[in-house]
Amino acid sequence: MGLIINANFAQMIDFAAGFMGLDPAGDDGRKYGLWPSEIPGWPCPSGEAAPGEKPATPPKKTEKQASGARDTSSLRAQP
Amino acid sequence: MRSGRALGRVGLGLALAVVLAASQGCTNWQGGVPGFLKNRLKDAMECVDYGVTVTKDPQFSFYLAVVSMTPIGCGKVDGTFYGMGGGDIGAMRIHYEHWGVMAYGREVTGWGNSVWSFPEFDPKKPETMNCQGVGIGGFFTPPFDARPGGRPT
Repeated sequence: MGLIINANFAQMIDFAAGFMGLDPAGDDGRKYGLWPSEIPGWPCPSGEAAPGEKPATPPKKTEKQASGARDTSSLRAQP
Repeated sequence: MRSGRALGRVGLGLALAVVLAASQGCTNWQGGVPGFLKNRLKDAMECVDYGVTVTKDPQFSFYLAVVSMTPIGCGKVDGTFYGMGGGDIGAMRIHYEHWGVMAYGREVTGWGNSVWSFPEFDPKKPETMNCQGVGIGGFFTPPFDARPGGRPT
């Protein structure tokens, strides 16, 4: 049996920055952080899911959208 | 003179904002408010690693590094972790190989899942774990495979 005690100081900044709409550690929706060059769609990547969820898939086009009319039913909260 | 100082402060604030914003990007809003809060919960749990490890067979590790600058000790453990660590809480797989000689050291850590369901790590695949050089030498010599937010610890 062993003991682990560790404080991640950079993650504390990341936690606080998260409430300001920032993700300095690049780890939202991921187990570990990634650098900007490793993140598809940086700086505001899409398609990443919240922890424990399946990756989001693009919404399918509805009949209204296909015919050119604007459909707002699939709009989500954006930062 | 006063206006110069004020301008300097505004400039400094703006520079800090730009650096923070450009450093990594935006918070993830996929999943709406629940998704946002899950990410913040994970961020909160990443702030500390605190718990005990249990292994089937005897394994050794003694390692200490103050703010990732003074790594000393060595060890390799492959077992089960009970506590809060790696952004998760509960019982999870853990693998770590750490060594340090003050000026140089290396840390390889793999955390399993308990609450979340991320892809499992493979000790043979470093890209599925958190690997980083520590100590002055570890910061500035290859391989530069540290992740953002991994140091200092």
